[in-house]
Amino acid sequence: MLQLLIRRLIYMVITLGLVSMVSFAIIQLPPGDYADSYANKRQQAGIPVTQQELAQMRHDLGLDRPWIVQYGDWVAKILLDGDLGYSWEWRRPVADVIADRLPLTLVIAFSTLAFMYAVALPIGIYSAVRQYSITDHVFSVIGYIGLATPNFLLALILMYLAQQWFGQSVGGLYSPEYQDAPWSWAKMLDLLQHLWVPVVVLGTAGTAFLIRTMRATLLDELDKMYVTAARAGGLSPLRLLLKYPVRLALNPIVATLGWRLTYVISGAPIVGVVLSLPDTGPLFLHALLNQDMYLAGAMVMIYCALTIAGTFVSDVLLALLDPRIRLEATA
Amino acid sequence: MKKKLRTCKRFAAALGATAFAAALWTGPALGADCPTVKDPKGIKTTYPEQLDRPDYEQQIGKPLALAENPLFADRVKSGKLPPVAERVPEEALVSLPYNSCGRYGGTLRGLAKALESGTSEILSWRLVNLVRLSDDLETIVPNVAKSWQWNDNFTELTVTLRKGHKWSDGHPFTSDDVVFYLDDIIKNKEIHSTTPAHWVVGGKAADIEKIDAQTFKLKFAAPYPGFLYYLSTGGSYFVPYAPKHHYMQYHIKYNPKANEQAKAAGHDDWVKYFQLIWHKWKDAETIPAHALTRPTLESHILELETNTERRQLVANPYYFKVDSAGNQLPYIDRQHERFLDQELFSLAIINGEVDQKAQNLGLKNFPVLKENEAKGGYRLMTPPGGPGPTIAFNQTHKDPVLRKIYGDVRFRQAMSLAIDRNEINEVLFFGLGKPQQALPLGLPFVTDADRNYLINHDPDGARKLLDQMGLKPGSDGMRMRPDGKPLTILWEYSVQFGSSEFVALISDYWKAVGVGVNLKEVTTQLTREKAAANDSDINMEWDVPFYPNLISEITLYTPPYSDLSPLVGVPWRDWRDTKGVQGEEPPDWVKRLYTLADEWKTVLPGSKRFKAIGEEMVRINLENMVFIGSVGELPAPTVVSNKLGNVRDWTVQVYNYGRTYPFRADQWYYAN
Repeated sequence: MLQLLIRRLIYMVITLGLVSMVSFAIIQLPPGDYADSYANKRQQAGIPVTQQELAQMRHDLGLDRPWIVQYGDWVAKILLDGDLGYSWEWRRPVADVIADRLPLTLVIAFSTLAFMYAVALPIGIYSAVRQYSITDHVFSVIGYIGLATPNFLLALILMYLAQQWFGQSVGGLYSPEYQDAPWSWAKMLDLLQHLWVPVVVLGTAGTAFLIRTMRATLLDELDKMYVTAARAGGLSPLRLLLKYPVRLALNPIVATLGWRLTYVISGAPIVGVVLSLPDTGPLFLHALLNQDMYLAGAMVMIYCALTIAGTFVSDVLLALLDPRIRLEATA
Repeated sequence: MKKKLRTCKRFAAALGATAFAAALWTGPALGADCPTVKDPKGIKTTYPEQLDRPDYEQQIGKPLALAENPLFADRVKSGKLPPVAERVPEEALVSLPYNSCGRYGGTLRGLAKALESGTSEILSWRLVNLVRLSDDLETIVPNVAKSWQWNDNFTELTVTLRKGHKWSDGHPFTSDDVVFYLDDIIKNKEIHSTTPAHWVVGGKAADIEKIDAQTFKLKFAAPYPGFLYYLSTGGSYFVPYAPKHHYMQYHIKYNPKANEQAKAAGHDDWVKYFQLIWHKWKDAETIPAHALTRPTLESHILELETNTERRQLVANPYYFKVDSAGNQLPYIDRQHERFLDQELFSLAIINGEVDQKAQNLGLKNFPVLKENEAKGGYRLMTPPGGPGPTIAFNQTHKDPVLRKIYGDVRFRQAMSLAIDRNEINEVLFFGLGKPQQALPLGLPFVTDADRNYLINHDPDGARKLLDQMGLKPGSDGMRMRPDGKPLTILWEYSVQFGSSEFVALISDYWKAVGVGVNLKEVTTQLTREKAAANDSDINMEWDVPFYPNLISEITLYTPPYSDLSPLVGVPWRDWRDTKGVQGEEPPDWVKRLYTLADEWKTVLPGSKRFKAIGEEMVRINLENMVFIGSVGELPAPTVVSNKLGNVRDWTVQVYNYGRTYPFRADQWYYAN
């Protein structure tokens, strides 16, 4: 088992290294660079820009060097000083910019995970036990709609409703008056008032998927002989249900926990942009659009690290649950 | 007992009301003692709407009693801050409020896209510079500078500052700060490897001479009469002074250890550190935490460290302006700039979360903003915000056949006549624009005849012109080039300069007169590269849409019309720049434009000769149909909260006019 973990960890580091290099190269691919996007913004505001200014800027930022040199420079700094580089757009170290926003990203991601499981498991169990009842059909329809609705659309609808009916402030996770307030009960409530929108949006499709999985696996179990035997033995129905078939049916769900995390993380940027959340989503998009290289590169690294970590957790859980996988891996 | 309680309550209410009234009427303000723009009460001013304190005191016949913003009261009491009379300069600027002397308090809330994206509007709320453009958009008025004097040929400018003027940390502001800016920042080769263009005149960087603490003299190698116009419009954001006492410690010239200290702070060298904490774009300076200690002259100073969600500023206790009742400006305590996705701007405004917004609102949001005016508690204005899409054909195209066609003025006239501008205005701009030719906005010498030149929708006239050129229609009605190939314009456009709908409408009009069009959407980046390589058919990126641009950068009104994205005549420019070695000789009208532009730079803006040159340049560009305009004076929806008092309606809403700078946000206040 330990051997498996170590090998996995080594793979993770190698993957991360390769991904960072490829992503750096891809970010560089589109024509133009940060200086061009800067010029764009200036011209859009009606401020004439000259070639001389751009040349000076490229020189100052080191953009006139080949990308592989820029990449090497960046990686060397990360490895030697732990310095993620400097964000040109935000005029501060990349680490500071991300630190501003990463906590909220994680809050959203883990709240969403909690929401998904809290909603999906009871409903899945209920649907399986009351198969083909009206409630089962209603949940199924809602589930399919959840699966089929694109996140951004749901985000727009919920945002409109929240603003129209609850008079909630637009965008962000706090009302403006709480933005700089110290943590308090009122601020917490305000956060919760805003948090549900992204959580529901991000969680809906996943919840629907989990409901279907739970329902299907539980149905398989419910028909098995041991259930009938236990029931004949006089065990109370609820105790029986939770103790045996549900536990078994949970296996595939627990094993995919890591993938869910990945799923939530990768869905987050779009929702973040639509809702203008102060999380890493809009940060990432703008870094890419502006070719703010070091910030974009660092963000890709963090997203990748989270994804790889999610996969890793899944692998470990699977290995723990299923001896066949464990044996195969160590063999 | 019950009755007693009620009396108690009533007493408390009365007490509250008194306190409220006291908060309302701060200082001796209002009533008879407050001359305003609306009712000047006999106060005479040399410049519109403002005068200097000594002059004002002479007119009212007594010293002006100054009043304190309650925001500073605690600090004054505890001795952390000197009283207002010691903070405001002896030669303070007395600003006549538009309608009434205001009251203190409140937070002005605005929106921007990101830290450095769409922020010029909020910067303009607190902006100061040596001079300012008055709200008539013509008169240059004193601001930080008390007065100025040109020599006869506009090569020397003597500027006098205000006695007693202080930086926001209380340190005196003197001509040393201007000398430091020019000699140690602008002309420092390590900070600026090439001197910024606006400080290079006649091929030489400007020189400065300190005369005394309040007086300095700028010397230019050639006449530069447009300098103050630049400083009060497009250059208003780039203040020509810096707090020397503060920046000295970071500058190698004054601190031999600056390099080591920069490295200790985690920077490559002193230059990199300096460029981080000093920036010509003042919003950029507010980003690092260092900005909390950096002094400024602006109406508001940074209060909290800026993060990726907001920038917050608080009133500057040393601000140099007072109202006519002696209240120190600004009235509004705080400015809060929230960074939000552009798509959510209108929603936040409708929700009443914004006090003033125009930049990046976009015309497409006009209907929804108008509809919710009452709900959001704001007023929606539509000052002109910019020109509509503009088309320029590449008259020096690489393909000799196309060059001949695009280079023929009849072709460009025909293309203009083929366009139905009223339809475009209705379909794309809610009928809010004005069908007109492409002319820089705000030129005092442009006539309606100029604006209406060949803008009527006349497809038959267009066909006649094309027939005259010998562009015969083929069997399908589409015209042929002289070499027998079908005439097709390859229109590579970027939506930054004209929407897909706009481009599609125009190409339909052109197809209707037999000219084929191939549309291709590309990035702005590509349009620029192709334009610079003289490789595009049409370019739509126009650098000269406003009068201030024209005054300070007339070369943008001569071929190739832009440095970054040349529109017409790259080879002509090369010919001129290399004195005929490279490129090709331009036609006479271009040579005339070059001559006129050279003379324009030496003439005082607004003078008779200046107007004559301007008129001729406009006529040459117009008659040669260099630009084909569509719809002009597109309004920029501008939202302002009903709660704000002393708001003058914007007569233009443009970066190059300094956005709100001419309309004095420092005398806005919360009226209710």
